[in-house]
Amino acid sequence: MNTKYPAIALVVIIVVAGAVGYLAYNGTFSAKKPTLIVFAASSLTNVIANMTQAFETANNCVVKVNSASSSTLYTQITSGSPCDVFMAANNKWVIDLYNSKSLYQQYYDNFTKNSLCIIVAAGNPKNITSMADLVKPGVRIIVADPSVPVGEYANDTVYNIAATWGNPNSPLYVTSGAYLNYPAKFAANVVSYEDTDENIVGDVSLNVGTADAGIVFYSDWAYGNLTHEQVQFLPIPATVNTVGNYAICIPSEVTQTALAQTFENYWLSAQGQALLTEFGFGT
Amino acid sequence: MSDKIVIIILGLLVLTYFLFVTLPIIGIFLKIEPSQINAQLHNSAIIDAIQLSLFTSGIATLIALVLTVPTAYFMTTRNFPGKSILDTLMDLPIVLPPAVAGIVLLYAFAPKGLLGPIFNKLGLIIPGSTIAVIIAETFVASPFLLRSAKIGFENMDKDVINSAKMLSGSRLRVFFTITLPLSIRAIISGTMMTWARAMGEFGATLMFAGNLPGITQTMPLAIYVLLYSNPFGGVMLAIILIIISFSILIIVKLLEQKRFGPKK
Repeated sequence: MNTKYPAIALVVIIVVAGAVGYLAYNGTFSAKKPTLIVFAASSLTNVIANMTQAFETANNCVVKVNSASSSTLYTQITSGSPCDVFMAANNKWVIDLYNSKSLYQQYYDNFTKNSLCIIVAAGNPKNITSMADLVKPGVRIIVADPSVPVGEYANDTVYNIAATWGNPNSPLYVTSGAYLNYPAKFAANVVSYEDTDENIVGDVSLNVGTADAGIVFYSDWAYGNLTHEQVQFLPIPATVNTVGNYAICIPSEVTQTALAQTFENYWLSAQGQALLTEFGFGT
Repeated sequence: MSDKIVIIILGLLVLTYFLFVTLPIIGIFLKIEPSQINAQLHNSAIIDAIQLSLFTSGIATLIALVLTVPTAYFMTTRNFPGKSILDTLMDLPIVLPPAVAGIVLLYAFAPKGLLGPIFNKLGLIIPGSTIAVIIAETFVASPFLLRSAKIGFENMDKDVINSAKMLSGSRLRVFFTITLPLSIRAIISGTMMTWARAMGEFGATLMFAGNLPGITQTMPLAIYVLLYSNPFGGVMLAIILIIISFSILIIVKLLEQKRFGPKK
């Protein structure tokens, strides 16, 4: 057999695969609508998904959401990734951009808040009812790495507990001693530090026995109620809970300025705030 | 088209490719801040990650060696129905996306997975443990050794083996005195590739084993996490990993040159 044919066949296959891919890709965005690129903290993924379709229709545009941890998004923005709107789960990342004069019109808004709760695997195998149960021997917990917002807030809460319920000198001290030496006992039970809030929810709800519980945003609880997920959630009392401030901004490299402003204004409007409340944000 | 133009075009293509691969590597070396090196080399997160990576990839490579060499020998010397399908299945981990590798391992080894009941009886919880890292690395990296060992066994002169079998009664003796020495270079170079791949394993480890410093946080995971909290630490670890991988590849190259190079 002529050895040329396999080589030609290979080239043809690659070219055809490329062409089909290109056509399919272009077909999705056939009408050349303007594209708004939104960098959003992963905890905002569900609430944004709820409004994008209506927003796209109303503004004749395409919204593309890049969802990751706020610190990852911040690094991407500062290294020059195109971004029209940045929504961070910790306003410190936006304030950082503000301080380096990297915001459009030097403006940002703390548009909502989020607190923490406990997520428990379906059926609650370890019978967890409080923060004290998380540090019992043999309980496997998943939290986020302290370099991302939900992990930093969880870390703050662990130390809030050490300073109050676990501190014999505090008027809030829990006399049973269940919270003594809490940070060390907590760390001993952590089986993984994940890089996003979504991954914690994913790991616990995958329900293959990897983890018994985790600490996630209260908005995950609200979303779990909306979608009737199998996982269960438990409250973390306000005395030790950490409330995180979310911020929205338009980076100075914005290309779709008018669209970006419309998008930002939506979240600041009564309608946007109501949607956020429905999804568990704001408290 | 004259030969000259063809040569110029080809030359440009070659140069482009050289730059495409080398520039990013050079780029990260330019990020080194000498004043920080000492502090980073005493950072426990970095030291732990290096130790864990060396340990897990070493064990994974040993396991791969013990399991794949007999398998490769079996696959090259025996014919049976469905062999090519089995052969393809064995290669599958090479092309599986890390996320897929991670999820199949979870459904196999997690407490509620396929093999969960067995591990539960033994009191072992695989995900979140160093064992999970070793499993992920072995799963993803061992096919490289299998492939290489198969090529080694296939390229042997069958007459030599057959003569040896006739002269000696013991198959095991023929294997260790003739077959293995003849294919040892292929096996060693496959071992090095497996080791390098195991050291670089990221996605499956993150999904299946998790990310816990000292227990499951290998160098690639530490690089990923450090990049946001301690960017220079991340860069340092990345450079160390590049140097290790480069050294391994050099050894493989030397072995292959001896094997395929000009005859003395």
